[in-house]
Amino acid sequence: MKNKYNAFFLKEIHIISIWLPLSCLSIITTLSCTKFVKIPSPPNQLVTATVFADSLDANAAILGIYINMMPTSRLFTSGGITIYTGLSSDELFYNTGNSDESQFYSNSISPISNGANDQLWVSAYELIYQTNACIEGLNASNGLSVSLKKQLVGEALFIRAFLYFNLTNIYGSVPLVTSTDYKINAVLPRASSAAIYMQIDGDLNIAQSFLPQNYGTTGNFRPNQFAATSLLARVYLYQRNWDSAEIASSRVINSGNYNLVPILNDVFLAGSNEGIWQLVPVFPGLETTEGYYFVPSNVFVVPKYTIGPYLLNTFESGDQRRVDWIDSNVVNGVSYYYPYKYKLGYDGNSSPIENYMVLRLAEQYLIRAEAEANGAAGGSNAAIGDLNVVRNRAGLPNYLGSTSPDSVLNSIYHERKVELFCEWGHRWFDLKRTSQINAVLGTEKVGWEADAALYPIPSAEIQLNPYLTQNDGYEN
Amino acid sequence: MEFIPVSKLSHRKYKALTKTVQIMKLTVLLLLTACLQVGARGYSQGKITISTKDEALDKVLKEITKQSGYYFWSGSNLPELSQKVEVHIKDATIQEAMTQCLRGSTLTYTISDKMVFIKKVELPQTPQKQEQFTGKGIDVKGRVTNEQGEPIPGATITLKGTNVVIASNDKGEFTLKDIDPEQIVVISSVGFEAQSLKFGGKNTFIVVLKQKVGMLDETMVIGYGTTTQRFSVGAVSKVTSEEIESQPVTNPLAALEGRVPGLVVTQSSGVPGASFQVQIRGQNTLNPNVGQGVYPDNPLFIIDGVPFAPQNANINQFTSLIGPQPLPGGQGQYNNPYGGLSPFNSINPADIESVEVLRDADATSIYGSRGANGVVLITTRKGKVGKTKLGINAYTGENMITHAMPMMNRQQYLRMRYEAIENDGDSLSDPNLYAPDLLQFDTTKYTDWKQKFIGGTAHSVDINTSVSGGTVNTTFLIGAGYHNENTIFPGDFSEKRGSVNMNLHHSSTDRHLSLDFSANYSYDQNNSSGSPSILSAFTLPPDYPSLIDGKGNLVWNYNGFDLGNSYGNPLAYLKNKYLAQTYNLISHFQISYQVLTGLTLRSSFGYNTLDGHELSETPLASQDPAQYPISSSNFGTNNFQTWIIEPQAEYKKTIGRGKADVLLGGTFQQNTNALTQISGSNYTNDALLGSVSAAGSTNASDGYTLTKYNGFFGRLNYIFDSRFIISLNGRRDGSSRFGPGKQFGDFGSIGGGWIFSEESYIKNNFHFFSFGKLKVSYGTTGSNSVLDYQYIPRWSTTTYSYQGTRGYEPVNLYNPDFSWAVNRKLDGGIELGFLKDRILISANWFRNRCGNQLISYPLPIQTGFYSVTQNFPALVQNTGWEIQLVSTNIKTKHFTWNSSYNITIPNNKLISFAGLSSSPYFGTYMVGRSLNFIQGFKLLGVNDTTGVYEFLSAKGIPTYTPSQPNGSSSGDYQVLGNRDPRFYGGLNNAFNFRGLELTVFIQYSKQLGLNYLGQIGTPGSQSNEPNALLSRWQNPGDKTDIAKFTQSSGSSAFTGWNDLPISSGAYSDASFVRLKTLSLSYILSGRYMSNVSIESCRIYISAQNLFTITRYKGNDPETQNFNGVPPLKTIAIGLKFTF
Repeated sequence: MKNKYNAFFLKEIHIISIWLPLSCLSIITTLSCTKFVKIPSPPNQLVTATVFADSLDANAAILGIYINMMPTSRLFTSGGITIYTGLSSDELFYNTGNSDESQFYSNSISPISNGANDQLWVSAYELIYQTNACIEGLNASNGLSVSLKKQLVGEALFIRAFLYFNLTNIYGSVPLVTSTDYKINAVLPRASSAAIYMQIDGDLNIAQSFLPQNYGTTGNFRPNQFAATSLLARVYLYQRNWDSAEIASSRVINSGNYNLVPILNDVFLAGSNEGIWQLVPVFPGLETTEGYYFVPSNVFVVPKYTIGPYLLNTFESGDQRRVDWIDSNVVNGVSYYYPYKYKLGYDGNSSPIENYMVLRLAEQYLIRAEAEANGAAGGSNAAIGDLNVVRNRAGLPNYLGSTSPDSVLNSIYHERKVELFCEWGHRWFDLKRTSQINAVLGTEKVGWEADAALYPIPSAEIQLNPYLTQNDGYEN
Repeated sequence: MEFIPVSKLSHRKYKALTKTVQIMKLTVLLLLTACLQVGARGYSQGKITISTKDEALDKVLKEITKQSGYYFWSGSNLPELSQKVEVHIKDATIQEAMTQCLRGSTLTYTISDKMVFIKKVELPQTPQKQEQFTGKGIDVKGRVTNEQGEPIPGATITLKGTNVVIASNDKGEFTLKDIDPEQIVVISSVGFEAQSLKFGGKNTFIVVLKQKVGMLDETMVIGYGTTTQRFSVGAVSKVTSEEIESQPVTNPLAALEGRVPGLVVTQSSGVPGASFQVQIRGQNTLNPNVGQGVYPDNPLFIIDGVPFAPQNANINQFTSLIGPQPLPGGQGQYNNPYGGLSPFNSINPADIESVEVLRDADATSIYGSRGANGVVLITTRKGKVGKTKLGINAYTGENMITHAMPMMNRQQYLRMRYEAIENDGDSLSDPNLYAPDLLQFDTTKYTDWKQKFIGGTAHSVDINTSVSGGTVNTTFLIGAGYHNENTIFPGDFSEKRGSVNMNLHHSSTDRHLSLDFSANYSYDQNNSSGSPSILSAFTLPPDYPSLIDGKGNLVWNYNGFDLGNSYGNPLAYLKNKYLAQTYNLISHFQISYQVLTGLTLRSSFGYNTLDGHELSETPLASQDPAQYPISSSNFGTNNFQTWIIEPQAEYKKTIGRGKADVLLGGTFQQNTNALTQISGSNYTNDALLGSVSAAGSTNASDGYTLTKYNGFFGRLNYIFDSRFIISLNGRRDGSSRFGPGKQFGDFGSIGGGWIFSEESYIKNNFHFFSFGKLKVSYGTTGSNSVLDYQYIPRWSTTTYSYQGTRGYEPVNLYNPDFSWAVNRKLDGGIELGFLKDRILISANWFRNRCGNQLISYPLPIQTGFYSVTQNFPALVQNTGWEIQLVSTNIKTKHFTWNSSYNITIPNNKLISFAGLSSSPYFGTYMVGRSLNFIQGFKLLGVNDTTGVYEFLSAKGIPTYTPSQPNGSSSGDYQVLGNRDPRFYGGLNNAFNFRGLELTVFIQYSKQLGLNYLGQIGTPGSQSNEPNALLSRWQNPGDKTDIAKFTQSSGSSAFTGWNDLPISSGAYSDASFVRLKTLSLSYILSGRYMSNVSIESCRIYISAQNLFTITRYKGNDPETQNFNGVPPLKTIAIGLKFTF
């Protein structure tokens, strides 16, 4: 009995001698084991520093912006501006029964319960963050050649300017975010429209000097110097800086890089020679988002969005754009007209046939014409010349009206209406910047109120940033 | 420190032992004296030396306690204790000492743990004397053990019909000579259930007695150990397998509803497989992410010692009938933001032995960084010593909707529409009027869409089998289960589960080494529709065209009207096949070795992998040909894994009249979650949608997270004289979720209890009073419930390419500075037992304060993202009362009636919040109010002249157009109450009459909730509405609470209806009393069953959610969801056999 006990006890001692140090060791290592809780970054992600360490990665960061500009839903850079401002102005009617769209159409957008307006705002600022992150990352990088760095920074600045241009024209004063520091950005109040235009102007001028003259191998799917100049021309026009607008648009027109595509049906094709900047749809098999939403996929149905009488009836007879850029479905004997600039929705093609036109030469002619009619170099006669370039391409004869600036201007406004309809909110913005909006929509829209010229800031955002204020007329 | 040498050891060994013991004692003592003013006197390993004559027995027993640490329990004051005894022993074991002490008395004893129970022998004892059996008898050698295989000394073995009684010896052994094989033998022992049996022809026998314990002494599982209610100072509640078994539910979480004080379990939807939200003792964390699918403050779930890898996160990546994925930043579709596929579908409720819910600091701080929101421990069934048993349990049931609001019929609908148009001054001839339901559709056609879509009955089948048994050294259990349940929706949808489980236990003959292994494997399959839109299909206009044509094809175009442009075709969604398959393996292995008496080293190893696979198909056949149909398929995998290694050392020691239990251990844990999504599109044939390679084009994305934990924990539990209990817990914990320098945190708790019923004054004067304990605990626990990698700025690749190249996009805003949230928990309670513990009452008061909030701080999108992870100095407090009452109301030979009742009265409050008015939370939270407080417009009612909703402005003036909060002004918003339950709980009554058992469980909750008015579209527009709205205003002078119908967004009535969901009109009483479980069972008598070798057979009928008493305005007061499926009513009938 005793022996057995002793033998067992020996075994115990033996085990203690192994276990005790082991447990002590594990306890000690545990106590100081910061090593165990150190983890590598996830295998499918990169940290900021590596993203901008070399040219391939930095280029991919910029591509990320273009890709995120092209979602399949109606967001800020994927048809949202065209469709919603088209409903708000006198271009489009909706047949979806959708209450958000009904609010755009009736110019009574709810700051609280309009998801489409919320998403418009959200998608714009998400892209702005991305451009800011790229600009900061690129500037901090040491691994890039000077020329590449300049080009990529130029692209990011250009896109940022483009986004702010549209934001301020839709919402008026908006927060001007130019960094990624959330501690600062979260409490930024709205900056005045003038301050935003100053930023846009500055960004575009740098972009103009940074971006190369040529597209290189990429084609017009990424902006070059002339894209920046084109946008600058528009910005000057909106600021009524006629001389600068004329100079900028002349630079583009005279560059010889672009010409008006004679066949209207070819204007919106990929690589169109009229395109100064086109975006490539990224969703496999899908053409542009606008084509997808505008063009019904068969002839038996009422299109989602139809062109209203104020646009339809404004075309002069013989205007080829009325024929080529508008189509219709006849349902139960009623004709429903829809925008037909883009002719394809989903076709399953691996590379899209049509690309999303952001900046095109026809607009530059109209910008120059308007600047000239307002007294920039060339004057009314030059303005009529530029106007005729656009008219002739649409199969219309030369302008034969009075050469008085007012008359020419009115013709240019009309020409913009029929040339640039359902494109990037041109109609809505033109009505506002030329102060015609109350007169025009006051007669065309029931219950039009001047405050509706600006969309409301989404209430949720005001809730999250107490320094944000609401636009007039939307307090409730 | 006094030390009695163990003289029989040789000098060398003695020295070694002394040293070890001394070190241990020293550790224990240091820990003890730090907190407790107790003069601890140490003794060696229970050797008893007494030499006395004519000493009272109780004095001798006291001396034994002093020397051995065993203490005595006699239940009541036995006069025999004062008898004089003569004892002469040296270095005796407790058994030897007891045998000597009780020699010649009418008392007997049993030893359990360090307790010696003394009881009167009920029959006149004539030990070791046996009447001769005249026939040819057999000799039997037997051994009596408990279910764990430990010997029971002093058990009495009675030959029925004779007066032969013998007792088992120290090793539980007994010998009977020459007995009739047919003789019925009764074996009994104090604290155990008596067993009668025949030896038959066998000569050796092991008799396993089942422990008969009162609720107070039932084993309760706690973190890294077990305890009993008697000696626990923590707030721990146990749900037993019987309670779970009585409910025909698929998800174990469903079985907990209403049964545990302080625990709120809410079902997200009645669709099988849907998730449950779980919260213990209220919401601790500010939750800005309402609508992003993250339910705040889920407790930590641990299954057999392994943290459940997915915890309570939804495991689906794609949308289905169950899991509408919320829109980014949105409120979630169909008012079901937390809906999803529950990971607990993989756990078979039938495999569960018990669920313990740990709530206070004492019980949870040993879990350190993850115990802040409580801990739920799930323990699976184990084998028991005894003959091999086969159990089969099977039921089949029917499920249907409990209550859904009746909708308008065709006439009522049309009247509503025409009336709305008339009210608005519009005309059907206005070309701008959008009214396809009146202008295009055939208004004479009527379909009851509610009946069509959710009026069905679902069937369920559940079968469970298990084989278990074992010897004293080895026990085992092997089980398998199958469950199949279809849905109330038309179509071939179902939720299926097959599972196997295994549990092995082995201990060496000397009981020093023991091994435990358990494994659970299950396969769960959820077939459903990939589009949840069918959930609201019942709001289609009653005159909506037929959804399928004569050939069975979906109808999309009705007289030129494209249905796909607006309402769509709900039947299409039935073609959107959705399949989720989940494979779950949980395995646990533990080895433990007792190196010295009292000192056990053990290490546990756990592994859990839950592998989810999803397929969501969108065939061409399900799409409107006018909307650019694209056939596509989504393939997803979602794998969660956890491994954990926890070395531990536990030392148990009796010090004086006290028992100490010291536990030290470490945790090494790693969690991974890897997910992939592949989306294929442009298939040539719908039949190929299940294949990735058949897709015309594919896109893939993936996600990966790794979390590592490293902790060191310790616990000291000291019970002095069965009266005073002190418990200390501590843990140092590190988590990889935090940035460098922020990873480690320290957590701890202190708890104390006083069993005042052991005080002699109370014992002697209050005989009706059988148990009384006061307890208090205070401590800290942490919460690290944020996403991984939030302290690193990250970029990922985009899903699509631009000109053939993938891009990068930023993923997060980063913040290197965040760390633990700390929850300080204070808990006090009293537990009382009356009439020999037939009535047990426990009342707990708690106060949890969660500061240094770890949150996803909401940001305006101008920062680029919706949120950033950071700590926030707001302080949230949860206080409350939890009261539990258990009683045996009637107990006769043939009839028993047991009741249990629990109630929780919670109170949630935001104590402080620096800079609230300039934060994004302004308007969401208010200092001094609950986190779930509601604010909105105060509804005045319907103006009886205009028929429009009228509200009270902040100044108390009636207005039609109250103003919304704007910036730092709260507009006309006012506080309307809060959605926390005022009180909730459950009441269980069980009646048993001669094998017929009836269990009635009632769940109740008093609360304010969102009613249907806050969830419907404007009545008058083109969707159907509940017919309750027919009481609307029609003519001046009408007094009603339903405003006039309208359909034009410009009308003032429309504005009123728009403001209604954010007003007091959308909230109303949602209290309910629900007959949660009704179970009736009958045990067929054993005698004639034994002829067919069936040990027991139970036939039962169970019903879940049978009826609900409520004044709630809407479908169901629990889900409070107008568009979803309310919890289903289940009626099941089943059979349970044991062979």
